[in-house]
Amino acid sequence: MSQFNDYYANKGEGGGGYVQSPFSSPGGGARRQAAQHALRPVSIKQLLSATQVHADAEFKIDDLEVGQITLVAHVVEVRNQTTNCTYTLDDGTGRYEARHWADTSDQKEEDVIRENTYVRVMGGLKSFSGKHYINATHVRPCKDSHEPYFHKLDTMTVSLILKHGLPGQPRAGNHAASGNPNGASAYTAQASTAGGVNDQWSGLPDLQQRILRFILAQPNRQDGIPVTAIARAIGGQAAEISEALDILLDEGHVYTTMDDTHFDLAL
Amino acid sequence: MADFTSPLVNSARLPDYQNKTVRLPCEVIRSDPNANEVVVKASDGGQVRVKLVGGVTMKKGFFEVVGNVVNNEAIKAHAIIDLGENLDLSLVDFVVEKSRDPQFSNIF
Repeated sequence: MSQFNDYYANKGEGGGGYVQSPFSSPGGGARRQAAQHALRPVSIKQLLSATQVHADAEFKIDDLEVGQITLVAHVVEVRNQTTNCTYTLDDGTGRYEARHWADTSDQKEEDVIRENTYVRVMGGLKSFSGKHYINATHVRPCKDSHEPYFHKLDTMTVSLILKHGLPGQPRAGNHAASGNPNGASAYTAQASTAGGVNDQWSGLPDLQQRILRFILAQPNRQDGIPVTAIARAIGGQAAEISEALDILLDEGHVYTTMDDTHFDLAL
Repeated sequence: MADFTSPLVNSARLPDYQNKTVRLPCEVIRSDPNANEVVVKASDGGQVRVKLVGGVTMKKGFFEVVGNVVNNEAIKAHAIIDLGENLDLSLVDFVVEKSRDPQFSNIF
C-alpha cells in the first residue's frame, strides 16, 4: 500500500488528503484556496455532472468546489501527439478525455501507457472551446490490479465523508446543502442540551470524558475550574490530568479562563 | 450523446443487463481454443462463458471482460483487460455489490 501514500502525503490536508477543516475557517477566499489544494477521488460520472457557473469559474461536483481530482480508469484510446498525449478514459460510469502535456520520447518501458490497461490519473478539470477534459499532471499504469477497485471504494468513502463528516465525529446539523462539509466545529452554535454535549464527547478517552463531566457538573463555572480541583476529584497522576487537559485544550473542548490553571467547557 | 456506461457485475447480476454492456472481473477456469470461448469464474463464484472475437486471447489468470450480455450465463467480449495473477475476487465482489447501493447513485 506504500504507493498510495505518495498521493496523500504532502497534500497539506492531513490523513487521507480528504477535504477537512480548512472549510471551517471564515472567508470564501480561504475556502477556494483550500479546495484548490485538495485531491478528490471521483468517478467519470461525477466529472460529467460537474458544473461551472461560467467558463472561467471553478468546477463543482455534488455542489462542492473541486481542485485536483484523481481517477482510475481503463484506457480505451491513446492518441500520442508531439506536445501532448490524449487518453480516452472509461471507468464503467462514462467516458472522459485526459490530456497529459509531457514529453514521452524517453519514457521507461514500464511507464508507457497502453490501451486496454488501467491507469491512475491526477489533475485538474479544464474547459477549452466548450469541451471539458482532465488536464493531467500525472498519469501512470496501475501496477496492482486491485487499484481500480480500491479507487471505487475510495470515491465512495470520500463522498460519504464530504456529506456527513468524518466517522465518529458529531454533527450539529445537515451540512450538505450549506457547502460546509466539516462536522461540528468549536465555532458553530451547538445544541446546549446535556444530550447533545454527551454525543460530542462519546468518542473521547475515558479520562478526558470524566474531566469534562466533572467541569460540567460544577455549579459555578464563571471563573473556570482550577486544575487542582479537577485533579482532586478525578484522582490519578497529576501529569496524566495535565496531559489530558492539554489535549482537550488543543481539540477545543475546553479553554482557559483567568489563567492557565483554570478551565471551562467550550460549549 | 452516446451512453458509455458498463456497470461492474458478477454472475448473479447478468440477467439485469440483457443485451447491455457490462464489466465482469473474473478468473479463467478453462479455455477452449477451437470454439473461441473461455469459461471464467466471476467474483461471486458463478461461472460465465466469455465469447472472444478477433484473435483476442485469455489464457490464465484474472481479467476484466468488457462486453455485451448475451444471456444469463454468457457475454460477448469487446475488450479484455489483463489483471494479472493476483486478484482478491471476494474483495472485488464487495465492490461490485456496494457500487449498486442507491446512496452512491451519483457516483456510479
